[in-house]
Amino acid sequence: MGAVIELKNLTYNYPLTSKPAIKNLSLSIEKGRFYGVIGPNGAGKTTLCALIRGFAPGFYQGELKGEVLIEGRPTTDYAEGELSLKIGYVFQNPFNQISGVKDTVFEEVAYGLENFGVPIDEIEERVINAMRLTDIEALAMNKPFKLSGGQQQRMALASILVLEPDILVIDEPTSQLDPEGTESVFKVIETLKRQKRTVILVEHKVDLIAEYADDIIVLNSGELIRFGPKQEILSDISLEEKGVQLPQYAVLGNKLREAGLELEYIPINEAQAVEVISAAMRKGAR
Amino acid sequence: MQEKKYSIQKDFSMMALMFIPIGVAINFVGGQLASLLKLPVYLDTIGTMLTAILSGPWVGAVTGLLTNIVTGIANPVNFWFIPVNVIVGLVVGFLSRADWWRGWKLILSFIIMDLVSLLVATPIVVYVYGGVTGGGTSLLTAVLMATGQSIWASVMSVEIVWTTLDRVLSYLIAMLIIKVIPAKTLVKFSLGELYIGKKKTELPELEEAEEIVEEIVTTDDKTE
Amino acid sequence: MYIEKIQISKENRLEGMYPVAKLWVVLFYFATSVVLASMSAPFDGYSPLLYLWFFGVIVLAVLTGISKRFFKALPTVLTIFIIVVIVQAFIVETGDSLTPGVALWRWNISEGFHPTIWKYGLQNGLRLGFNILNGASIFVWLFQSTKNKELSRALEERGMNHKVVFVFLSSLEMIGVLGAKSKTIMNAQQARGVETQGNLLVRAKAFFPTMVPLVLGSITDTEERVLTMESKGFNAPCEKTHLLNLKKSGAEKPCVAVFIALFAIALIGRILMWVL
Repeated sequence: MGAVIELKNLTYNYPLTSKPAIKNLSLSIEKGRFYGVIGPNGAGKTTLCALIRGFAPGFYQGELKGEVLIEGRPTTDYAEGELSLKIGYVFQNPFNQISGVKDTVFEEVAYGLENFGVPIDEIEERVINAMRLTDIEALAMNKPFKLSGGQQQRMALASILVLEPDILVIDEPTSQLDPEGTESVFKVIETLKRQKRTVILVEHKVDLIAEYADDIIVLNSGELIRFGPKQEILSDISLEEKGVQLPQYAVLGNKLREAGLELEYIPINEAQAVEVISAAMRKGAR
Repeated sequence: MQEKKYSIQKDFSMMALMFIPIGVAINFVGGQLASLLKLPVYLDTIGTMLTAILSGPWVGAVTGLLTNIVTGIANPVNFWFIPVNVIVGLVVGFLSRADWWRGWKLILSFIIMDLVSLLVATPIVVYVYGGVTGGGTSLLTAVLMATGQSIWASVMSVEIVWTTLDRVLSYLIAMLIIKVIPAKTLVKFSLGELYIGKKKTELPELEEAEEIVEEIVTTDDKTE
Repeated sequence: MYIEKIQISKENRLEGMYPVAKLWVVLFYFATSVVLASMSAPFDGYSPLLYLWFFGVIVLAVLTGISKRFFKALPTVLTIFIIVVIVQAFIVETGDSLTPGVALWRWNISEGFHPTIWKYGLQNGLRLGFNILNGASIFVWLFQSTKNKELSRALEERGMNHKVVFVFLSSLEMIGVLGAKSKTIMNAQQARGVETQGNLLVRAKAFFPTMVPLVLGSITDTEERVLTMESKGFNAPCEKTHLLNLKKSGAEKPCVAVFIALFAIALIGRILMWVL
C-alpha cells in the first residue's frame, strides 16, 4: 500500500478572491483505504475534492501554491481524459450528472465508454457489471429523467464506475436525497468498501462515515485540523467546538463519561456503544 | 495588461456549449411564461441575449438558430423566423464584444438592436405571412390593414411598439440575471469579465443568492 | 442483450427511411410547392396545383403510417392558414393601386359595414397560406416519423461534429426540463405570495421571480454539467464508439426518386408556361 495521492503545502484561492479556500494543507492518501471528509459548511471540503480531481485550478482557475500529486505526477500534468479514467467523481446533485442525450439508463451509463472509444463487445459487459453493482439493472430500459433521486444518483455512480477508475471522490452524494434514496446509495458505498477501493467521501451524515471510513480528514476554515484513524478522531469531543458533528454514539459516550460512567473507550457506532456501555455498567454493578 | 486576442474557440468554451441548450430552453420558457401570464409580448429572446452578451455573437446566433429550429418542430411557423433570432444574437454579441452594453453607449446599442430586429422581422411577416402571423399582435395589424393602411405600414407600426417593448423587457431580465451571477462563474464565459463590476469579488456574498435559488428549486425535488 | 434492445426498428418502410433521405424528401417537396405556387396564369390567378400539392403530404403521412400523430400536430398550422387567408381575403383589395379590386362576395349588413371577399386578396391569401401549410406540414411529417436520436445519429454519421449534435439534443431535452422546473418555481413563488393574476403590471412583475431563479439555478447546474461531461470523455480526441446503428429500410431510393420526379415535372410545366 503506497501513497496514491499526495497533497503538499497546498494553498488555493478561487479567482478574484483574497481569502484562500484551502490554507497550507498537506495530506497523503493511500491505496485501498476509505477516507471520510468532515467539517462545517464552507470548510473547504468540496474545494479539496476539486483540487484532488484537478477541477481546481483547471476548470475553476484560481491560484494554486503547493502540489497535488496523483501517482507522483501533478494534476496539471495530466491530459483531461487521462485523469477522468484515474479518478471518478460523483457530485451532490444527481440531475447535473445526466448527459441528457440518451433515453435509456443503459445508454446513459455507457455514454462515457462510447466517448472513450471502447470497443462495443466490451461495453455491454462493463455496463451490466456497473449496473449490477449499483442495483439498477432492473431500470436499464427506463428513461434517465424519470428516475427517482436515489436511482439517479446510483446511475451517476454506475456511469463513473463503468470507467473503472482507481480512485473515487464522492462529494455529499446523499444531501439532496430522501431517506430511501440515501439508504440505497449507501448500500453501493458499502460494496465499494468491501471491494477495498480507494474512496474519498465527503458526508454530513457522520454516523454513516463512522460505519465505512478507515481514516478521517477534518477540515475547518480551509485548514486541515485533524487527520487520523476514525476511532481516534470521531470520539474526540473537542471537535464539536470547531463546528464538527460527532456520531451520536460518540456524543452519548462522552456525556456518559462526564456523568461519571467509566467507559473503556468512546464508541462511534451502535455495536461499540452496546459493548462498551454494558461492560461499564457491569463493572459499576459490582 | 496583456491584450487578449479574439478567438471563436474561446467563445465556444465547454461552459458556453453547455449553456447554449439552457439559452434555448430559456427562450422557450420565456415565451411560454409570457403566454401563461397573458402578457402581450413574446419574451422569447432572453436566452439569445444572455448567451450573446456573455459569449459573443456566434454563440448567440447559434442559440437563436437552435431555438427556432427546435420550437419549430412543435410549431413550424417558427422556422421562418430563424433569421430574426439569429440576427438578435449576432447584433447583441458584436455590441457586447465592443463593450457597448455598459455606460451610456447602452442606449445606442439598444436602438441598434431594436432597429435591426425590425428590419429583419418585418419583411418576413409581410412576404411570408401577408402581415399576420397569428401571434398576439396580429389582430392590431389586421385592424390597421382594414382601415386602408398598406401592409408595410401596418406591420411596421405595430412591430415598432411591441417589438421594442419585448426587447426592453428581455434585455432588462438578461442584465438583471448577469448582475446576480457570481464573478467566479462569469469568468468562465469569454466576455464575462466585462460584467463583473466592483462589488462582486468575494465568494460569500453570492453564495447567499445561490442558496435562495437552491432552496426554491430543490423544495419539490426532494419529495420524489 | 441490451444493445439489441436499444436499436430502433420500425415496421413501416417509409417511417424507417434513413433520416438523410427524409431530408431530401422535405427539400424536394418544398421546392415543388414553390414552383407550383407560381403557376397561376392559366387558372385566372388561382394556384390549384399548389392546393392539391397539400394532399401530397397527407398521402405521404398516411403511407408512412403516422396519420394519428400527423393530424394531431396539424391544427396549429391550420389555424395560421385560416387566419392568413381570411385576413388577406377580406382586407387586400388589389395588388397595385392601378387595378381596381374585384369583389367576389359581399355581405350588405349596413350602410357603412359590408364585409367583402376580394378576388386578389383571396388568391394571395390562398397562395401564401398553402405555401405555409405545405412547408410546415412536410416538417411535421419529418419530425413525427423520426426519433430525435435517429436524426442526430444520422447527422453524426454524415460527419457532423458530435458536440454540435450534443448541443442540439440537449436543447430538446432542456426545454422539457426547464419547462417543468419553471412551473415548480412559479408554484413555490405563488405560495410565497407572488400574484399572477390581476392587472398587466402585476402579471408582468410575476415574470421576474419565476425567471430569475430558474436561470440562476441553471447556471450553477451548468458548471457541474461541464465537469461531468468532461469526466465522461466528451472532449476525448479519440474515435468514438456508437451503440446505435441506423439501418436503411430500402424505401429510400424509390421515395426520393418519386419526389425528384414530381419536382422535375412541375419545373418543366412552369417553364412551358413561361415559354408558351
